Amino acid sequence: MVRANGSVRPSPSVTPGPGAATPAFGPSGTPLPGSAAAGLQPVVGINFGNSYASIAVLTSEGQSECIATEDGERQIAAVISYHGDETYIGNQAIPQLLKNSKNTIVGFRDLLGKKFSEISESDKSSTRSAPVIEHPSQPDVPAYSVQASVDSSAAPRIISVSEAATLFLASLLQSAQDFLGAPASGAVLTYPPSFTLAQKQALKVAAEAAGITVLQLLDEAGAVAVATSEVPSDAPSDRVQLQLDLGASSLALQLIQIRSGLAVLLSHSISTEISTGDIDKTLIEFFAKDFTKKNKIPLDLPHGDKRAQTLFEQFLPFTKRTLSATAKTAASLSIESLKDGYDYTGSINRMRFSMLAQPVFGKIATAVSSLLSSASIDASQVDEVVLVGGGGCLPGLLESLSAKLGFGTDDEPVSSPDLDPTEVLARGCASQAGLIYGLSVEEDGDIRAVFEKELLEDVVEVDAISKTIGVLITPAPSSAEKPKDGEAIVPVIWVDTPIPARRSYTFEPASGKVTIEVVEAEEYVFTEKVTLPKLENDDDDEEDEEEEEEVKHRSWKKSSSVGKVELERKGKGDVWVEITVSKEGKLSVEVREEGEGGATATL
Amino acid sequence: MASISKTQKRKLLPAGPAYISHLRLTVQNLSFAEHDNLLAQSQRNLNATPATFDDLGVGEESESEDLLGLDPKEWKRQDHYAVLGLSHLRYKATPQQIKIAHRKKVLKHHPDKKVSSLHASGASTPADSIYATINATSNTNDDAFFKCISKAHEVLTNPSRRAQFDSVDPHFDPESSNSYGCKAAIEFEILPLPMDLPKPLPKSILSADAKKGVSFKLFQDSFAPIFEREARFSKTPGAPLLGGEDATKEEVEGFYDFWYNFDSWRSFEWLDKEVNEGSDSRDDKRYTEKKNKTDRARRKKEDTARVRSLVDFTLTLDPRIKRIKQDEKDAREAKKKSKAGGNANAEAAAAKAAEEAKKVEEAKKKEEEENAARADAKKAKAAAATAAKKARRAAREAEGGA
Repeated sequence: MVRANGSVRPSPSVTPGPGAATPAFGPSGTPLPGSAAAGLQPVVGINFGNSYASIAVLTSEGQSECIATEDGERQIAAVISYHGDETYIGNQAIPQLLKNSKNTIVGFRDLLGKKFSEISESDKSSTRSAPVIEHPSQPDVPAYSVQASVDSSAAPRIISVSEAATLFLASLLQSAQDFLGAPASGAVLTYPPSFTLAQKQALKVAAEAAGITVLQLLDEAGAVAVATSEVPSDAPSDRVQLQLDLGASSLALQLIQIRSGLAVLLSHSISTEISTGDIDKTLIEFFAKDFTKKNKIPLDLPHGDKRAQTLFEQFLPFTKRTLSATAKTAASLSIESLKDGYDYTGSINRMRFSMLAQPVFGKIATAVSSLLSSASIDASQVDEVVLVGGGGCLPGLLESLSAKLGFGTDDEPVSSPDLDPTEVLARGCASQAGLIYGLSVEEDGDIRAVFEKELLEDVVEVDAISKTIGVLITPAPSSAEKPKDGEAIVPVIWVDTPIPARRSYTFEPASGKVTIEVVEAEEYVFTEKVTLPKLENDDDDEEDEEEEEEVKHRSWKKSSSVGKVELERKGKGDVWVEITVSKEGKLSVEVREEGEGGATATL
Repeated sequence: MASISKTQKRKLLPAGPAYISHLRLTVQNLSFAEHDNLLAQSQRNLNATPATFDDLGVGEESESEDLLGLDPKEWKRQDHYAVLGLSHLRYKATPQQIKIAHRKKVLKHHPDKKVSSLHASGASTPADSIYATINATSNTNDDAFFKCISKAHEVLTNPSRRAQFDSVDPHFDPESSNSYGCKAAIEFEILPLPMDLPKPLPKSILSADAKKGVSFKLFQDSFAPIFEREARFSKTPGAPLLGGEDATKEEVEGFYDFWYNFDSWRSFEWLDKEVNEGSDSRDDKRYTEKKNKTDRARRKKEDTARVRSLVDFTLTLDPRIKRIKQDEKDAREAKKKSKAGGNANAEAAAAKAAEEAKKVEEAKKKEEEENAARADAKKAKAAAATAAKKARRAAREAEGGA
């Protein structure tokens, strides 16, 4: 049956492709080897970010869940600090950035697998942490030199980037195992789109040195795709998904096509110029100005008053959290002895924040629109926007982008899944880990082998359909609404669907005899000028012009005809069309009247 | 077969259940029909083994009217195990079981649920009738029972508070909760505290004749459950239980030794009197606290005495003690006998020696008699001599006077 509420798009009635989120292959589906019925699956999903990491496990119901460390933190800072003979890993190391920055290591993930000569000068000499040096004994290997002993005259300890990553990953694994109460049998780790193959392999080596059995290294885009397919959403099963990962180090944008759960990467971009750091910077500037105004003490940020800068950086997260959490109240910032013994207490409200953040949001919007144009996709064709990373929690980000770019159309509004941006990646990894762990060694050994091979290779390239295959039905089904423009083509297999693919479509014909034309079609966007109904009560409105608004619609244009099938119905059953594209790219169509003794036809 | 436009290369993200399906179709070369079968098969497997939620034997317990009518303000008097539906497990319930039981009860009795079930009361299924009774009894105090559940959960999940409650749990044993045995025991001053015995102690064992001897079966039936029940108060785990009829002397001695030195964690904070919240008087507070402290100490003392008297009583009735004593005696005699049987001459010699000793004694007696006789004669002689002397002196004085 064609959807009654107007849209030609048959998302509810087109049956998803094979295995699209079918529970049978879901994490809780197949009886898994070696896992207790009531217990947790011993797998971990690790999102290893450059600034923050997060870990997730699967609950006994098979749902992924982001877990907290023993410090109660779900966002685990990727910081390692040495103070005397103490080693701090994670959020405990953050305060060390204040007093002990020379012995504190940050930002090591992005340096993994890089040669010392490949690292840019600005990355080498950070003001916040221990500088990157060349390993004294291993040539061209980046390392950090830290004082890891109480005796200050002792020789400094040299920690290579790989060792730092291993230390950090081991602490993540420990936290996860403490939660599981059992050793983890496998883990899936994320890697950013910027990673080269060499970096991927370096990540694998570091993870294995930390005692992690790596099941898969998953592109962040893949992790998000898995996580979003897990939660119920309004978005159709064939959709364009924009992933916006605003982290503390960079902005990563990924545009993917999801085809019944299969995710195809269209385009991605990464920009280290835009990050939540920009927001922090504007906020710090705002508060610094306020401090100077109140106390008549000038602050020279960021390099002159290093202490003030670090204090701001330390306390700002709390202010940001309050801003994200509450819509009405102002968020306050209190710092004791910011400069010259003067304390600072100030507050910022939502309005002021959106004003300050507007330039950054504008930059993000520009990056998004350039990505969309590089993939030649109109903003109105984006069905789903997923916010990822700490920056995703910023209030007003999605609204601001939607206003600037205009995602979706009135018929098919853009949706955003109900997921915590900071947890998406880890949860996706955990689900994926459960999936791979659930494959039986005997029956699906060849599939497991694919995953093992992937660890050493780059992203898989597959054959995909280049033009959407749809059906044009004459006479048009009674329930279908005539499109405003173009032809009433029902897309069945969307463009970029990897083959082999099979989809079916059921409709209620208007007459006894139907002709089904299988066509290749292209989607296009046309704009319609609509006169808005005038509001009754705005008498004060001096402009008496008719208000006009441009409304975007998505329509279909036939590019070529593939074939026609005619069906004379015997009864009054619905007509079911199944289109299959084989592995070799061959198309076959089967049309059948539903019910006993219905007519059938093939193409 | 119709043809379509040439395919294009796309980067596939290797993630999600759909990717596994894709691999099945491409790597394992399954046809769509085969894949459908596989899906159907795994779906069947899933249905065949429904994901039964293992409730660790918590089960369902229906609430009586009394239970549902509990006043949450009187939480100290409520039976927390019964409220959570754990009265068949009581102190044996594990923390996991308590968690599960609490979740079950909350799902059933949450105030939000009650509202919805009230609206849905039009449908008259058996399940609804349960809610109907709930609503009938608790419409006036909507979430009273839910508060009781929360309180019970709060008490039972805190190990120290649970220990306090377990210490004074009136329903000592899950098997039965009759009070007859308790009454009898109180009358006999074995168990001065109000707690049920698993089974009433038989009159025969309480009668005075019992001390003369009871069968082990009766003894075991009466006391083994008591010690099993008391053993949970032991600070050291693995308290020795009553044991079998043919327990060795060491085992029996070990048992009594342990129970005479029984180290119990039982405490009586639960019975403390509440400090009057309203009063600001520090003296009042201190007085109550002091009183509570002395009460606790007194009760603890009584409890120790109770266990001791119980052990005393058990010891007096224990047929094994008599058996062991008898065994020891028999062993001694057997030893003696075996010694005697081994040397018959020794017996004869002993008899001879005894006769000789008798003779010696007789001779001694005779000698003594003779000696006595001699001494008598001597005395008589001496008396005669003195009498003669006196007579002579009197005659001389008479001559001298004339």
